Amino acid sequence: MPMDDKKIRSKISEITVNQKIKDTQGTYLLRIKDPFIASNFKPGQFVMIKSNLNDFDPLLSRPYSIFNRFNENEFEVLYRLSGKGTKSLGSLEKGDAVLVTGPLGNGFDTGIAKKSGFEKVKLSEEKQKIHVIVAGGIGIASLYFLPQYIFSSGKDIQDRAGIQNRNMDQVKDYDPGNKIILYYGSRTETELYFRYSIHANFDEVYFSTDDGTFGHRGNILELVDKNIGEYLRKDIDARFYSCGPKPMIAELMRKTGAWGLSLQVSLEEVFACGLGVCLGCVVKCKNSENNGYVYKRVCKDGPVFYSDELY
Amino acid sequence: MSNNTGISLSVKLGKLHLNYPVMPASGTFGYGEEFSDITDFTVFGALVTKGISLEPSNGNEMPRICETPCGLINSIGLENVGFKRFKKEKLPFLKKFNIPVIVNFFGKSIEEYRILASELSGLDGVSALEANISCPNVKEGGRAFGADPEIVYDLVSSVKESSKLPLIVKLSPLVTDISLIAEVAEKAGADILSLINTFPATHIDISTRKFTLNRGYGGLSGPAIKPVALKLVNDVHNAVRIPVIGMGGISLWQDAVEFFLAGASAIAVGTAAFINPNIITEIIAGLKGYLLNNGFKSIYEIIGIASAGK
Repeated sequence: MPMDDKKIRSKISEITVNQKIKDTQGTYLLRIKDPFIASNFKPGQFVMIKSNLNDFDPLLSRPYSIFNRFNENEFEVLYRLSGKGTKSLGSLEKGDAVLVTGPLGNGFDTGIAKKSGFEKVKLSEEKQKIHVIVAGGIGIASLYFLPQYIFSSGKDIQDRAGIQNRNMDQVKDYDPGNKIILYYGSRTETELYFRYSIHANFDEVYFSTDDGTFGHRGNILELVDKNIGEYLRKDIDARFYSCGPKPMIAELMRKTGAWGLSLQVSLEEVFACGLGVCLGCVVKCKNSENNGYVYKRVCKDGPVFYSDELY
Repeated sequence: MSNNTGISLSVKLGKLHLNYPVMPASGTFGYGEEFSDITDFTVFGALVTKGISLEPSNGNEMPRICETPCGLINSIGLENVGFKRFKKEKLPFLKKFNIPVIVNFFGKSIEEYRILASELSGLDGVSALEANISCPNVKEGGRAFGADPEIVYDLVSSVKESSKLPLIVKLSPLVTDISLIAEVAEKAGADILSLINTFPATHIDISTRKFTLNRGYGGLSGPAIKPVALKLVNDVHNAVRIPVIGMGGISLWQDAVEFFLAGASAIAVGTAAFINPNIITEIIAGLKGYLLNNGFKSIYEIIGIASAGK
């Protein structure tokens, strides 16, 4: 049966790593062997995972952001134990099987890999690009792979279907004048994942914790405020990407709106299917007709939305 | 899927001929586009659309879904693109697969059902209609059409007069005697019955003391309702002579076998496809294996043969 034309695949895959990350409160790194997803996802996309294959409670698969591409065959998920679904997943071990469907959703628009083929596409001829990534706690899961994706974007990553064995790391056509900056905040030190190693992927990194145990004491957006002058310069094209708790997202949306800067947010919602068919996860988006709004599906039309789309 | 086993899975539901007796349940398959990116429709007996109304509907406010033990409660609110957009944007895609297209539809009044049935019958590429009669009869105080035998008779006969397409009537489980409703629908001209629709159900968040779903309640689906659905399918099979499409929590090929044994001539899968988008293909393979291993040559040999006693 021809499967090569499918953009999304659903199959039983093997767990190669499922380990609690040290110094965290029940946060795990999961690694799954699935060459199709590992080779074809875009940051901001997610997978649906059914961890209890032999019973119906919990019934539904759960959505997890694709955190990282480990290699050509394996991708990673970062998750924190919270409800039935994550507890079930947390009980699995290396060698166990899960049902994985993906890659799903739209992913972040980096404004670079828009054309197909191997042609280099430049975002803008004159301006220096600054990609500003604002993460809150476990929200880092959907943002972590963005730098690598932006660096390797000369390749046609958007045309995902059926293309495998692409070595993205070989491509470095990224303009060295451009910058990728991370602002990473959480409640406390143990929720700043990979705080000692994450700097390797970024040009600048700023940390904050509510309790002051790591980095700036206070809200991460206070640090963004300090540097905003640079991002507002006329010769700079700054674009924001964010994922995190709702109050942080709402405040960042208000700020970028006032600054007139582009912001993409990855929304979190409860999904039944994750495929776009159940219509259980809609969000109101602006629309000129129909009382000013239209429902879009977080799972299929998102989970990444430009902030000015949202109602 | 190889056919060299000599096993026949094709079924005739009145004038509706299906190569395979398994299809998606309305409302869990959109208009086919999303699933076509994931799975092949090769062994789908039919493609069944989300319920269509004359005018588009936004559906309910969030939250719309809530998981319960072995079940899912939804209150989507029949969100749909409406007849005009369905005709222009959705039907051309569905037609491409050369698989029968069953269009599920509903109205706020019998008149709306009649108009919509007539409009849908005029479209090339629609193979059969499925009337959802579980929604509220707005003109008559909001009680479900499907709960009142007289209204069921009027609705079904009115739709039959305005459409020549095979008519499936989808029954609600929330009635005192489903056999009676089934007989009335048959007498009024229904060609096929499908059951069950979801069960009205709710969930309360004890920390906020509020209903979890914005609208307060929704319809329960999933494995939790399967035993009830199976009994109702058997009741209806025993009450009427027209074919029955069975559904309600089917999640494994073994569940499908049970529904055929209870009297279903075809079955539909809904919630289970949310978890496993390839479930229909897997159920077809399981059915074939079951028939082969038990010495049956055709699916017809097992329809309705379950018996009581020792």
